[in-house]
Amino acid sequence: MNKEKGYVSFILHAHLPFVHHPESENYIEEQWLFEAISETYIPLLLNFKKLEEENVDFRITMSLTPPLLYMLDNKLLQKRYIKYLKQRIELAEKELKRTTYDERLNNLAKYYFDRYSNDLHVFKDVYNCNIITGFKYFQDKGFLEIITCGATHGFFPILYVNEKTVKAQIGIGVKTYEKYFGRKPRGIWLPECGYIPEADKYLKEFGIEYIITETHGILYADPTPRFGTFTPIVSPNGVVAFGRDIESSRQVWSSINGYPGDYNYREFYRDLGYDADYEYIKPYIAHNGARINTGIKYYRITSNDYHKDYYNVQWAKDTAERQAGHFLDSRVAQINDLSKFMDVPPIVVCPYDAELYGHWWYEGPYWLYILFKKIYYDKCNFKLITPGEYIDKYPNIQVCTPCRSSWGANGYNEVWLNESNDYVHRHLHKAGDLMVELINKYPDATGIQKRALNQAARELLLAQSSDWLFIITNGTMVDYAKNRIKNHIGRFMKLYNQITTDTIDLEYLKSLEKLDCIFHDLDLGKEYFG
Amino acid sequence: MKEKDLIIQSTKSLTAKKDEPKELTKKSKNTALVKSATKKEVINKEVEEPKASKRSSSSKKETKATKTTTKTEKKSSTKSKTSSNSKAETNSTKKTSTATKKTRTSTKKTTSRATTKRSASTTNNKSDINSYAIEYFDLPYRYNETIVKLLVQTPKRLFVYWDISDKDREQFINLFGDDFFNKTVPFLRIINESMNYSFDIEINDFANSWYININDENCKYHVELYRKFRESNIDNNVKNLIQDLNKHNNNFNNNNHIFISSSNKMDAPNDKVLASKYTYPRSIEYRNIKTNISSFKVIEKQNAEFYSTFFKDENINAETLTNLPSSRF
Repeated sequence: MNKEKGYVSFILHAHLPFVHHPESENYIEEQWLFEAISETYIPLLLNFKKLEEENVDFRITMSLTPPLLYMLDNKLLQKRYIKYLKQRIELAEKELKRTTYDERLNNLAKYYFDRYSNDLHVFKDVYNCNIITGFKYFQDKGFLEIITCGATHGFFPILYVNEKTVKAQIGIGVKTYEKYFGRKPRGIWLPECGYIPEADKYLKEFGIEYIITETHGILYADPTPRFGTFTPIVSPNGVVAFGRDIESSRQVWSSINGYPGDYNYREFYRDLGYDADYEYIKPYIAHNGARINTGIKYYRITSNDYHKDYYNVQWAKDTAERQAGHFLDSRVAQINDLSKFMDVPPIVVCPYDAELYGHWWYEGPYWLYILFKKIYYDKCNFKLITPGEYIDKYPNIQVCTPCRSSWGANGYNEVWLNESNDYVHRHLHKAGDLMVELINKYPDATGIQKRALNQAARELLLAQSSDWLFIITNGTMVDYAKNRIKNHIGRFMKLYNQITTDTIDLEYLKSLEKLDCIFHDLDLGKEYFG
Repeated sequence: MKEKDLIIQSTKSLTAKKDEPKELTKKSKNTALVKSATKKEVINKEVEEPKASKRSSSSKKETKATKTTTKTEKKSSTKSKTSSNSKAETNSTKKTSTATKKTRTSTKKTTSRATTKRSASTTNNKSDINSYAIEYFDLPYRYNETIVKLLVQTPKRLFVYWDISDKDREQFINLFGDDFFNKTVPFLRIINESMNYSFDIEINDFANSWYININDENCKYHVELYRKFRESNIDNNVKNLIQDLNKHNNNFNNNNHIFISSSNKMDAPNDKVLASKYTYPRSIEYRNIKTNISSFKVIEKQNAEFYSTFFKDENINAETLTNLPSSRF
């Protein structure tokens, strides 16, 4: 292998909003987690394992957000995931019988039966129902660098009207990380890559070394960084910022010519839940009878029109291998070109939503596996690296203030602040102010009062999740998102009233502690809101 | 603010005050995602339902043409697929909530009943699941406080929301007479602190938020809410009163402008490469983040070729980079 001229850093942001409904099994939103476990998290872990077994020295960075960690660690959701898997296996078994008329279809039914059966085995027998241990294993082995995120993915550029709420998002994100991984996080994925310089002091306070920003967070920095996104910059307050690379991102993200759109890949939008006879599929769709995805998809993208051919697993793998080669060649050329201009080895930062890999782009985890093998074995001018390793190797960094930015459409705040969702912010700000007031008023609370304060903080944090604002903007599942905001703000206000009038209803508090149980074991007091 | 107070105040705002903004009230649509929840609604209908009305979105206006943005390939395009397809929306069960004031007693009673059931079971079995109290909340229309909050949407667009407390309203009425809110119109003054200029926008009493287009990105702004008498002929006593009220505010030396409240400060983001802002050669700072020791490198010129080669998609242009200080990249 040649001495590396540069580095490539893959960063996968794994996040889902906290969805936990012990009061009913009928919320299809809980399925978001189950789909992500089966299609993204377990496939990633299995591919990491294969790489380890094949002695491939790879590096990858992942943010596992606090809501995701608490959901993965939740006994009820673990139980429901097993039930979800058993239903998929049962459906695949039925499909094995139903599809005997067509060998190709029958083979695919067998494929799904095996895959979901293996998920069940991996989940229960290998990871004892908690896949966090799987990610921790690879971090401890040095292949994976896990970073943290805001407590509930609150969007800093809008929350920071009350800076203490940003402080709480950061501090509780760090605390959650320590709980699950037994050490401090080096980096943080700013929710939605929303950067504001005002957050730097809190990032430093809680020991964060680096952040990831959108491309223009670096390009529009002040002063202009010498080498754009190809070296990190450090803010005057000492927070290192890495910027997304445009070229490599586009090869994967682009909805027009990105890799996931290849005709051989599995078609996401053709699912048995929509295609099958209604009475036949009814036990496997939503309780109210609405057709939803089942995870069993028989078609490949095929073309841009409605006609779809059956999915062929081998063809899809061949395509992934070809595209991994293309990506590798592109980075080799890019780093060759860059090194002519630069006096330090460049870093090409490739951040993506983790759920793109597997959930949206079904073959994504396999593509990563092949790519990492190729990078390790092929003659290559770069190495994989994590941001933490890069700043350890090259600690001399240009001082610039990153630009206020996000990775939402058009690069700033309009996804989370527009005519469809702007009514929410006054309530988030008011609840934030009241939370700070509560903490200042009852700094040494104990007993039931302390429990009520912690629960009020949970309600506030859950209301702050950027996901609800995003969903409202997007126009789908809007009722669910709006209700979540109303419920958390409503519960917060009710608790505020009870705390300040010394009329805390213990039974009500217990009920909320069960429903909104994120951070159930953390003290959310003055350390964060004070 | 106590919840009970909020309920009362929001009711007041709809019924009692002539000068309050008229709101389009909407019966709340509380959505239960599943049909089975409907039963619980009936069981728990005594549960407290804070009332709120939704504001009229039509009252918001823009003041200048919005900047057209050019970037297209961002996260949202991918995410939108998530919501639109994978998670099919269920048929919502809609419930019309009545806007009635509930007492604490009824809340306690209901909560207590629900939790008594729950305590009978410690596992998540069916009976336990059914014992969770289902509450329906609506967001309060207002918090009855005098407040102006400024947010930034884009480098060229701000968002501001506001309210005036009942107490402050009464004070203005006491000072200027019962028809104060009829005789005056509300304005927003947008102050660019970085470039030291301001401009005013007339708003109306039907709105409680506004989008403001601005010319200058990368600047610090704040906003002030004030009212102005419709008639220019103002009684001298009133003029003196206004002068007295405004004496501590440099932005309000006009004796027809009655200052109400000022917002927080916000920075509009930068939206261009700033290389042209500097002259070359110049010294740039490096910091060793392990030792925290700074060093300086002198660079002869901005690396325009580097930017034009590797960031051409960001509209980097070498010529404008070096020649036109105010050009966009």
